[in-house]
Amino acid sequence: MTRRPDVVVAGGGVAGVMAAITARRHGLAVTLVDDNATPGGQVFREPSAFARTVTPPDHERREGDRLRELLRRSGVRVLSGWGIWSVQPGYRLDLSNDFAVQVLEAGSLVAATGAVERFFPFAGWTDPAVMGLAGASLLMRAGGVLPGRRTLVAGAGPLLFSVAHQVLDAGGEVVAIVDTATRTQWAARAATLALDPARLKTGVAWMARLARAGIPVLGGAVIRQARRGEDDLDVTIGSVRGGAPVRSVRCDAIACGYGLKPSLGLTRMLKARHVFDEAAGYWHPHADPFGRTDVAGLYVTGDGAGVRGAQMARLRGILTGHGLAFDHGRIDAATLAHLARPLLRAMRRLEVVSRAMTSLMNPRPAIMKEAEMHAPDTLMCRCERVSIAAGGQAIRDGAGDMNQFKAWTRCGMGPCQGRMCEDSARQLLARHTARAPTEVGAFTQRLPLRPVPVRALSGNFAYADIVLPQAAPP
Amino acid sequence: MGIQPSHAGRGFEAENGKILTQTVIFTFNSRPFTGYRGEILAAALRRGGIVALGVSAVDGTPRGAFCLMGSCQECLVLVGGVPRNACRAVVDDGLCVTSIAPLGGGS
Amino acid sequence: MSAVMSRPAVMDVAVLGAGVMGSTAALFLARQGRRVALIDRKAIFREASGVNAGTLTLNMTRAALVPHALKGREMWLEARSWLGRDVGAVATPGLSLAFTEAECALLEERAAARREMGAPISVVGAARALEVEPGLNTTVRAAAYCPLDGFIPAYGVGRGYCLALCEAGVEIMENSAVDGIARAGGHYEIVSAGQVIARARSIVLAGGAWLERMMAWLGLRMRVKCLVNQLVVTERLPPVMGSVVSIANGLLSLKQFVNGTVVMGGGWQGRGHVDTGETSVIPANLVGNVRLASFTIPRLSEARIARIWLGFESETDDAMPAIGPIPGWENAFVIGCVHSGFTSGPYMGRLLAQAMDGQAVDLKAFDPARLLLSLPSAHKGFCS
Repeated sequence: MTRRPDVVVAGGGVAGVMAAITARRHGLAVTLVDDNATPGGQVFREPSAFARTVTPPDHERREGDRLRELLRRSGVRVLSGWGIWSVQPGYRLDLSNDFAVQVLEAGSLVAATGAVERFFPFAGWTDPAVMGLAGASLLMRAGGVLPGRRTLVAGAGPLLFSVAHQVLDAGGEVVAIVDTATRTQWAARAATLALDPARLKTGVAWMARLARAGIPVLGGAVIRQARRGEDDLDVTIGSVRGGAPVRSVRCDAIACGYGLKPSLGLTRMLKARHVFDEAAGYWHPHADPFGRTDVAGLYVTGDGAGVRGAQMARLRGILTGHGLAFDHGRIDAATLAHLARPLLRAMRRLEVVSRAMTSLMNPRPAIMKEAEMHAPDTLMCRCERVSIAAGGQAIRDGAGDMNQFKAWTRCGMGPCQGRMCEDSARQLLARHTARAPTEVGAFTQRLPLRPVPVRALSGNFAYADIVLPQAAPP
Repeated sequence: MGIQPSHAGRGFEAENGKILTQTVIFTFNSRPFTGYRGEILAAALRRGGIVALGVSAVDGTPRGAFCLMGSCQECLVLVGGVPRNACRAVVDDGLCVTSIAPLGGGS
Repeated sequence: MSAVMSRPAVMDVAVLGAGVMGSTAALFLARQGRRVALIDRKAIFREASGVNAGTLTLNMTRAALVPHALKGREMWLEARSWLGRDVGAVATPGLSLAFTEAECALLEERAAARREMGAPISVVGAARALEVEPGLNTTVRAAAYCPLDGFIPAYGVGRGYCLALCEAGVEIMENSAVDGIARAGGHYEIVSAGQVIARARSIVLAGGAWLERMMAWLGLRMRVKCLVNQLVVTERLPPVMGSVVSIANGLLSLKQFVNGTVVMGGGWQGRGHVDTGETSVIPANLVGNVRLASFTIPRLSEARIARIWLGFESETDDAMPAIGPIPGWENAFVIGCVHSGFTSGPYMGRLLAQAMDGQAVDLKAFDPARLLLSLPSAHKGFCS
């Protein structure tokens, strides 16, 4: 066994990799755990050899390759393909892959687990031809495969336009973009976007391209229903405010998502303080600029601390690395301040733009109300197939909090552990009980953070090896 | 199903001789498929026209890869008899992939 | 303290603790025509009663409690008749298994003790055990077979109770953490966050693992040991078993629910404390549990673990229940610390309601007086 590292970094996205490399440069022993086959996270996911031959080598790919190369040469011990299924204070991390388990211990833990996509239901969203926006992006960029020939792109936030652009790049067709935000809401953020000329330029280029290709952008709209036809989907689109359907389109794939939210498994398990960001519509762990949470030795960096995008994630990761060095006595306060200053300056500039984008990703409660009004049999929990109507009935029967709601409906009890349905459940409860989402709360985070195969956990054993608890009373 | 990019084979990086893609043969529910070594199952199957990877354990309706980041668990298949996410498991020569059998009944 | 508040109306009974014991007592008391308030620090059925392994077993029940467990099991299976709705109880056989010679002897001993108390348990050979449960590991040597066993998905039961209690006119007060009880003018005042939230002529303390704290409100000391049981559930699987399976020492509690998930209970401990209500898994303790389960039903090795959770199980000094009047306090009762309490819970709750109604029921063995380490010093004023 290798010696106990000073730091374990959980997550191999840009923030985690930069935190690990930076801490390592300060002389700390660092282990990075990542559940993907290779580091890079979602934004810099390593393309397969096939994808490299069929998609253009864009900025993300070059940056990702550079990141992987930096990590390879850094002296950071990398455990790829391992997921964390349990975390205990102190810190003990229980890892698993599909075949085995192992335990890792360290004094400091950096949660760099990034963001997950936020979803809200519409009738038919469990059809296999419907996938997340981020998922569609990964399929194209890392897999070199289009979601479908004719893709409908729907949801909220800048990822809509990025994915549409990628579909076109890969030679696919975008039948329409359905955006919960209106043109006016985007325009209101245009001035903010101007603070980040690079991003503004990219945005304008995307829009121009979509306009040239004649792709309809439907603002203030949501998918109301997707019905499976002979060999494609018949999709009805309506206004976010309800009323009669405004349009119907046919496609053979839907990419949808309502922005990103921090992945909170580790910080929730460790009971770090979380705060609710009203504009973004999600909880994130409370942390200082170096990522220190209120739990000793626990850091959070990158999008996991609040979704700000890859550029910010990189800066946050470096800052966390410096912070670790200071907290482990490798540098003094003056050095830390000196190292942090330019990073903090750069972050301040990006912060304004990132926050504007975050608020555009937040579809607000209207989205659940809309789904409820038009198709109460819509499934809000994909794993357990719980409908919005069944959820509403449980609330009327007396389920007043998230955990009772989960117990009475099984919503959130399936293999995804509520990651896909928690936002819907919260909004439904908030609406029915006339409370703020913060009052409604969250599902209690349970282990394992990812399903663990029994065989991996049990290993090879004989009956005599089984340690039994004390016998029950006679 | 034309979901392979139209410019497949343009060879963005292959031109520089940097990347060699090696094809492999694997089976999904006994049907042979071609994949490229190192790519995820979900991508190889979708290129081969497979969108539904199994059925819901609750109502038996088709399910497929949804989040592609190991979160939703909907792309679970059996790879050589072991339950694995198709968005994580990588194709290899002779891999035997099957859908998880429907439960039949239950509520 | 509460001078400016409008004083709550005086109820006939305030039940503190909305688990299976308290809720059943409340239900039957209300049906006797009493005005009942049911108060809980959290939501109804969210502690042990909603998070236990849902077993309707006799093999794992204490021998002395077999008669009650038999009655409780009956009630669960016929919930429609007294709760007004089905709670998903399923009757199956039960098997307690022996894989070693020592376990065979233990099995005989435990089966005999339960048989004596009325459980129809017989010790059978491997062939018969495999006939009852074809999914078993074939190296099984003997089994205690009981045709009367079964399970309930415990997490959903509170919903049926919630509806039934409302129909019966019980006032359910959730999220009301009580921090003391005062005696004033011939009735009890229930205090939460410094305010009187309910007044009642009688009280029933039904706080499970929190009973030691509750008794302290009355100046009484009753030791309540708290077990922090760790439970495991798999993803939905095709049918791998059809009975409730334990091992000879009374542990494991393995069963497959109608929805295909398999729950592995059985007494492996996690961390937790009743004062905070917080619990946490001990990952290392999971290995034994999962090994035993997958050894017993080999097909479980193909499954994935979907969730692990924990619950507080309460136990008195002699591991027998505390049910009956609280010595020294008028119209005050306690109910709890029943081993396999979920199984016999509805029966125990109804028994208490009957006793409070003046009906002749035998609660001698459960008399709380035997458990008291100190007697009340005063019958007045605010105790907290």
